[in-house]
Amino acid sequence: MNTTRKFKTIAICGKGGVGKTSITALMVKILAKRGGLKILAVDADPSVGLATALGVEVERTLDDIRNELIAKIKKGEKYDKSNIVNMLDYEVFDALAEGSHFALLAIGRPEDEGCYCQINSFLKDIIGSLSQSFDVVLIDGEAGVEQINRRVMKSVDNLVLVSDTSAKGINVVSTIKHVAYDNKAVACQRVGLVLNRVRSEEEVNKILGRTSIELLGWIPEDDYIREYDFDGIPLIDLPDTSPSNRVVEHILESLAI
Amino acid sequence: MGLFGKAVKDIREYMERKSDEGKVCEIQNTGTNVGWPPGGGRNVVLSEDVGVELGNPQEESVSFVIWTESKNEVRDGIISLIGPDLQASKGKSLPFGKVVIIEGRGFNEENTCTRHREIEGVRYELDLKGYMLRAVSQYQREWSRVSKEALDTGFSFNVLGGTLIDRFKEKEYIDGAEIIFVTSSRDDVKELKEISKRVARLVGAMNKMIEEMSFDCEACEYVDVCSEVLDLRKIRNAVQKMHKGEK
Repeated sequence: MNTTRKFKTIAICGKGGVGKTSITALMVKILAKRGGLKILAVDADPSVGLATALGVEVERTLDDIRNELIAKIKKGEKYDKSNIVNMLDYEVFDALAEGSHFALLAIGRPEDEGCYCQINSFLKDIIGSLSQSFDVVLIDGEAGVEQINRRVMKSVDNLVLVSDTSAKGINVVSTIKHVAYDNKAVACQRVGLVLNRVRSEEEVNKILGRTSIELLGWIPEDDYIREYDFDGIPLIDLPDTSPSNRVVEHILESLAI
Repeated sequence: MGLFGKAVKDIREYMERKSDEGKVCEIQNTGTNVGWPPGGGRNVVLSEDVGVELGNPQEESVSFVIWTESKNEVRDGIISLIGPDLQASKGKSLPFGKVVIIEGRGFNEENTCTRHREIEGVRYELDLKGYMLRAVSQYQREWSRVSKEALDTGFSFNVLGGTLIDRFKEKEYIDGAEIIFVTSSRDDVKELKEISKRVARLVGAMNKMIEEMSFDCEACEYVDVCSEVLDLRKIRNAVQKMHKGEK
């Protein structure tokens, strides 16, 4: 009997510095607080900023695991396929940084290039099977979606594109949407836009005249976020009453999560 | 004596020592495991839901399976416990040792490697609600978590061991299975690890025969166990014959 429930996936992408990590952290916070849900956060950004935002410490990344295995293989250690898969599964679980109702997996940056496509493929399979044990998977991505496809998973339910109000930010999300949705770099059922650090509704209306991407919500300049970032306080502790928290909650509802 | 004959003997001696130290408790599998609900493949237990953790990567851990074809060496259905059971360990992270001794039949040089993989695979196929397992056969490590909810609803080594025994016995060539769990101390697990080293060498030699085409005994790191254990040499000869036939 196949009793596997479907987990929901959201990838958060956009130009660097627009607030992707903050929004991902708030999504984790809100979902974790509901109770009864298990959240897997995947930090696909090499700077590993999501860990700080979530108040957890990452000791090993997926690339550390990959590079350790490659080093062992280069030294002459032999593994068969099932041994590799079970070992990677063990190591990946050990690499999770755990918080309240959530776990964080940091992808990191590959240090040792070379043709180890099969290991990358095993790791992607392991992320896929690990994800099935969670209710929601949130991926904090880089600007593009290609690396999500290459290193995390080839399809997501929702692609959330984050931009500030700059023309450059909007251009980047338009390109990402084109690559992801129109060029099918990552299969996704829904693509939506979140505008961050908005000063007035007028700005929102102007931007909507320049893009066809569905608006999921807009987040005003939030003094709480500025203060928390300034003091280095994890955003997971942000009060529920903060403006950002309320908007992100609404966005999650609109994504039926 | 069979492939794991010495290991079985070593385990018996280990059990005697632990029994003399008053640490062994035996449970006859009573079938209380029957009906433990499946987790639907979603058995991640996150740290805050952990009722008890066994063999965490920072702790001592060892796990291996051995078999014999001898009728009087396996006490079918017996789960031996060295150390506290799960219910008595709420909130703890314990060192962990697990040994499965199987009574099987019809093992020969042609089917032993395949059967070994099947037997190893049994633990990965377990789907018990609130029980999460991560294991690396190569390093003989096993790490598991039991959720608070599972503990509150009666999960124990009897449930885990009993389910494992049932699963092993579903294999046509397995007639009996006995399990030993060790949670008492790091030293007791370390002692078990000493026995496991030889098992790891035997399994490593077997895997090497399957994976590598080279039969240069002079250069092989497993030459010691291979020259000592007749069954291993039989497997080696069968694999070599198979490779010659393929050419």
